Amino acid sequence: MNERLTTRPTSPSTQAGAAATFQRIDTLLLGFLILAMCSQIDPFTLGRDTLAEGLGYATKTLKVALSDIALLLCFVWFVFRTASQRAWRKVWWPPLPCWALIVAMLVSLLHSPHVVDAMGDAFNKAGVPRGVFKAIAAKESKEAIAEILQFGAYFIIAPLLFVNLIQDRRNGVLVERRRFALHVFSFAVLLNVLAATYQLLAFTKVAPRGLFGSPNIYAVFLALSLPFLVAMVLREWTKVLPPLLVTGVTVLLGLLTIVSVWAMLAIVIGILVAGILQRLPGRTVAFVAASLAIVFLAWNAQGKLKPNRYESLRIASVTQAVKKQYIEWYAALGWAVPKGQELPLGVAKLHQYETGVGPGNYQQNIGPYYSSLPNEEKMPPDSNNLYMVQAVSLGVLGLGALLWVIGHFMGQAWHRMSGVSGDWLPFGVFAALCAWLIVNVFHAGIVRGGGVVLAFILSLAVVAGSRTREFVEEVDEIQVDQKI
Amino acid sequence: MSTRNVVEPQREAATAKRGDGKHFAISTLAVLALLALCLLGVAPTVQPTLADRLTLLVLGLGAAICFWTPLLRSFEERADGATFAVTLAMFVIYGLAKQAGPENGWSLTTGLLPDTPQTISYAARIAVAGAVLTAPLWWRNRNAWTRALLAAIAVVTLLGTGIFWFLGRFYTVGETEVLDPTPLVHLLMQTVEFGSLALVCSAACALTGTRRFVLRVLPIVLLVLWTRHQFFPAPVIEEAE
Repeated sequence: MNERLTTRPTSPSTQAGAAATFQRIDTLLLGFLILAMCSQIDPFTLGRDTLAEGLGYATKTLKVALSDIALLLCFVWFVFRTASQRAWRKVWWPPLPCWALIVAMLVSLLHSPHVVDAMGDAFNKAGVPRGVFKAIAAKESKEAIAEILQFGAYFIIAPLLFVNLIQDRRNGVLVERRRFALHVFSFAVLLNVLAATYQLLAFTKVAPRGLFGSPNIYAVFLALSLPFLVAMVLREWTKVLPPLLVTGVTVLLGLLTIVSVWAMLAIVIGILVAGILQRLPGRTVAFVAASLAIVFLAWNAQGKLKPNRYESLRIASVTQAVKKQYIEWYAALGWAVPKGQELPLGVAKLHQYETGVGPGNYQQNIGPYYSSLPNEEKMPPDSNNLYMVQAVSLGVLGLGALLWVIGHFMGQAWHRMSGVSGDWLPFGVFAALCAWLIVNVFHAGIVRGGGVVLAFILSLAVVAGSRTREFVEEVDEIQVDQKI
Repeated sequence: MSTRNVVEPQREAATAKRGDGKHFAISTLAVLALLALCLLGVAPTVQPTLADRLTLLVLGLGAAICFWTPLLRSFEERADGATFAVTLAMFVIYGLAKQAGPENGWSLTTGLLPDTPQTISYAARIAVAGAVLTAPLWWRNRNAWTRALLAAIAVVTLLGTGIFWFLGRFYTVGETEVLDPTPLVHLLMQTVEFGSLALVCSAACALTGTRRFVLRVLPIVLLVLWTRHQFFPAPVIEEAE
């Protein structure tokens, strides 16, 4: 009996083999996650599309994106691996601002009369215990819970995975996957711009959008990734030709296929920030000038995109003196009117400057805030102002928490710029986040796909800090013979 | 960089030593301002919603778990974490305190709404006065959270003011016109009120001693407010027709 229970001792070579296999799985999953996050491909949808079924009403359906699946898969594997290694204490944990954001969202949910009343009604109708499920399944609470889960995935789980997989310390030795991660990311960006170039050539109705759901979210993705990639080639200008060529092609195709002129501007500003901070103004100006010259020389070839670009720039729409995209910025201010003080022309009831109308409940509540403002046309997808959306949904507390997260990681990148390593990564992260902050005035970028990419960039601010000059010269997947 | 790291804590320690008594007095003033706002929160004119009461209960229980257990130590050590917790609770309480009145009294008339004077609530007066009086403390002790919150308030105010100016070039402006300035006026007032409150919270949490006191008292305040509004609700005043 005792003999049966005793496990057979494994030889050191078998253990090493198993560890190497597990590390390879870690690497593969990290690569899969990075590839998947640069897309909005939806393999399946949860919930019934009642509108398509002809029932005459719409119900909330949850599109499960490839990035969601990759994130879940990676997280489950990470938990299993870390638990089996009993390495929870060696794991890097997301900083306080990330947790604060989720707390602010939970408080926003609890403090929203819109959500709480809807949950209360559903609960009272069904009674105990069914009422609990009915309250959670109410449209308002479902939106709020989905948003909180989404933000939890982007600001807690994704940074946790990226930082700990790129710099894996769980086994007692440092396994670096930085170069691998950056190569996969560069490849994913290239894949997107190639897909967008094909879409430009085969352009019919919808403008190029790469592997994303809309041209605007594709533009946000490029605003994050292009300044980041350019920061690398600016520093390693003469060292490595292939990345220079690949990045050059990516930037060029990206600028050729992008529709949003605002995103283009954000990219140029991001690149300039990267160059100026690295004290490489000559190279930067040359790079930007060459890119823009080629783009403008190739302008005729992009004739198909002219109307779309004009549309993104112009103030008026077909029916209104100012298009809805900008009108909505002012409509959103209705949320700042205190409780009990209604607008003279309107029925806005949900005034919560401090905590907003509830996570994910922006679209349901923005209508009445229009009051006497024109509200006729439909807005293009992902053309909201992120700051106004978050302020209305989560209040100033939630928006403050979001800016705290971004500011925290930008601060980390900033402090690490003056480190001894001469590493380009903090410059790239800082430039990318600058561009992201600008582009979000015109396109809300925390959506499926875009959110995980942001988490990846934020995580690199942490990774950048712990590198030394020696590491920069090392090849990928090195094991440092040094106990941590 | 390294020189700064060595010199700054020394300078900070020296400043703290010189101004210990003064800073403690200012921080205590901030705590008193917060307590006054909490007192306004139990006024008979306050009519909380179900969401308000639920939030007070959950925040009170959460605060008890965080600040009446060994977890308190980690909050004591981090000014930004403690300030976040206090600000979160105080913003909710401030929403109630604003309902304490007065209905008439000090008011502000702006060029945008010349016929509609905006009454300044007791809560707003306390918050703004508290921020002014505690300025010497928060001027040098704004933590990362307070800076981010002030940035959020500033971003929304800038966007709101900018878009109002922009739309004003295309649409007629007036209370009953296409572009109603009411939301902007309220936004500007909220900017001042909540910005001031954020600064008072920052001043109250600037010193370890007052921070510890505020954190320990916070669960009691939240649970007392919840009990008041849950079990002893103020009578609903019906408006005379």
